[in-house]
Amino acid sequence: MQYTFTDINSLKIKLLVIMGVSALLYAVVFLFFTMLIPYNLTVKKQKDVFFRRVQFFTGLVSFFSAMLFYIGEFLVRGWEPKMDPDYSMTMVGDLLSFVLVASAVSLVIYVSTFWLIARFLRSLVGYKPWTVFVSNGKIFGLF
Amino acid sequence: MAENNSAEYFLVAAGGTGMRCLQSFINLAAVGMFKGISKVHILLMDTDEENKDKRNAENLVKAYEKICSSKPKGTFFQCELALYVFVPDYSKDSRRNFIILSQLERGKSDINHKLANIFFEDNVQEFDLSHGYRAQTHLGSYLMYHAFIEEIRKSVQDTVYGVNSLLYKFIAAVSKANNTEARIFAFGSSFGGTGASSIPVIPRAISDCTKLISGGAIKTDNIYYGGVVLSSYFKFKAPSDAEKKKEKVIANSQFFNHNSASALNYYVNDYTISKTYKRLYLLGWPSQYNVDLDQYKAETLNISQDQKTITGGKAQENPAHVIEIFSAAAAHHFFDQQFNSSKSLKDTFTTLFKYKSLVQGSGENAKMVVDADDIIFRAIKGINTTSSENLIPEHEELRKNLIAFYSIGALVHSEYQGNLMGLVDDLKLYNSAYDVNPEILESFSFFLNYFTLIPKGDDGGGYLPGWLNQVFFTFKPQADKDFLELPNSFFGLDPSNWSIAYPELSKKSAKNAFVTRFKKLHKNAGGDFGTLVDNLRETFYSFKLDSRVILQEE
Repeated sequence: MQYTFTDINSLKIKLLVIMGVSALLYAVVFLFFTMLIPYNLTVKKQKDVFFRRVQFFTGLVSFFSAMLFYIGEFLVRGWEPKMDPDYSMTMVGDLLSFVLVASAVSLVIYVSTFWLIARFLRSLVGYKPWTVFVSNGKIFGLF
Repeated sequence: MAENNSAEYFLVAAGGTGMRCLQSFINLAAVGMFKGISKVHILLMDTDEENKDKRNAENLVKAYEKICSSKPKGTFFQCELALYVFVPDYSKDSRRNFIILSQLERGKSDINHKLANIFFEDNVQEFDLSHGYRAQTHLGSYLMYHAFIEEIRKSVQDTVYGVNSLLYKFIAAVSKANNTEARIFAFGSSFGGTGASSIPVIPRAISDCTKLISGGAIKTDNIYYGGVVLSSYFKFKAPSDAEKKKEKVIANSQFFNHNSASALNYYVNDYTISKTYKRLYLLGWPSQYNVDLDQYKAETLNISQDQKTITGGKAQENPAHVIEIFSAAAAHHFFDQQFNSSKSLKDTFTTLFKYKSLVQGSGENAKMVVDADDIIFRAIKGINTTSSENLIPEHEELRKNLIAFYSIGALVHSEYQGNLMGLVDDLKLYNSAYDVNPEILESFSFFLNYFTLIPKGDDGGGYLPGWLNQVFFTFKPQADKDFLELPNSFFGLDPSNWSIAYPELSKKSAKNAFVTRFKKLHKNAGGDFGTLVDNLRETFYSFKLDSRVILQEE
């Protein structure tokens, strides 16, 4: 099967779906990691919430970077041989410029998935992941 | 416990042992043993204003009252306490001994002296009363009764004096309660001084005082008296000859057993007792296991043995003992409608003596075993209800609450250097915000310390045993789980063992497991101070406790 120029939108959706599903899985994995950091009780300054946030943002940044700089291009280059040679350069250029948008959308999916699970599936995942977003009753412990 | 809504409850604690029994009562009330009772009026009476045991009991009640003012929810601190203090003043030169106090030198002094000599030896007439009655109960009963009467007479005659007299207020509360029902329970030893002197005269003194304030227009039919008859359970170094000479009369624990035996004989046979007390609870301890106070101080507190015998004052601070817990349990039994209905008390015309026995371990030097059902026992709470939450034996509930309270204290010491605010801050970090009044928090911290571990306060750090720890140390179990079915390592001066009673809380991950359970049970709810304390209790309560290892006889 060869991709013609009319398939450009379906390729964009495909890119978006793959990156979105990856974001979802990535969020679940990193949420699991935050659950592994134990609650602590200490007279010293508490660090466990900080470490959970570090994990969350590490996941976020690494995911965004991977999608933006490697995965997106990797997928597009993978589809390139199947593209109509007359339009392949245009299509690749169009798709690569779409990677940024798709990465941004998948980033939103990563954050939303993390937030939704932490917020609504507490009986399953406990209250630790929620401390990533809210601690001391404030957003990120600040606002 | 089952409460009679119309009844009022009163406690009278007299002397050093009475103070320590009272401390047990307060601590057990704090963990919910008396939660069916809305209020207990406590009369604290001692002849020794400086007595450290008295000060401790007083401070404990005050802290308790403060915590109660925050209206805590749930189980802890549910029974309100009202404190009244009465200390006959023997500190002034005009009242310092029997001769001066009874004005023997006035009028025909030779006749006065001859009369006094019939009842009291010279030494007894002359010793300094400011440190109590020093096991001279014949003198003490006489003086205590008259101290009551004198105080109430003054209060009746002088309104301003009466307004400031706590004894007067206590008697007024008893008089008022007589309209429905008043249950008065007395704590005190049968072998010492002030307590042993007071117990026999308390019913008579209170009843006569109610008549004084009502001008005789009262029938005290609805006042029921109960009390403990506590025989000797500790000993201390015998006084030296020089001390005996100097002090004239000085307490000697060698005679405590004889004192107890004489007192028991008196309590059983004398009608002033049998016609006034409805219930007396006989509490004793095998003399071979009596607590050696000097040894306790040397081994547990690392205090070098003082050569001086302590007669009272600031230095008199003895460790808590399990028998004092049984005293509080006796009060629980007396107050409880299910054990002692109003009708059964009314129909009692001569004192009913109560006792229970402990299991003794095996072997030649086997010591006692104390389980929670020895403290209070009722097969099933709410036996006629099908609600599953009521299907926990009352003693197990008490045991779990007692251990939960201790665990909270040890946790706070272990992780926050005794400052509960640290735990509050950490819970807030985890989005469980509790609004805590600093004054209440201070009182609670004091209470918690007194219950578990008391910081030494010097630069070296470390702890002195708190109330429950003292009970454990003076009990000296022979096997690992002889005390409340808990591993011995749970007690002691190392607070990091706070989780050891709960098999689900392995020491390594205890903090994580505890907070996880806390969050699971209470979510991000938060609340006031009372809610915090109850939420902490419920969290510990939700964990299973280590269960007894059955001791196999060899």
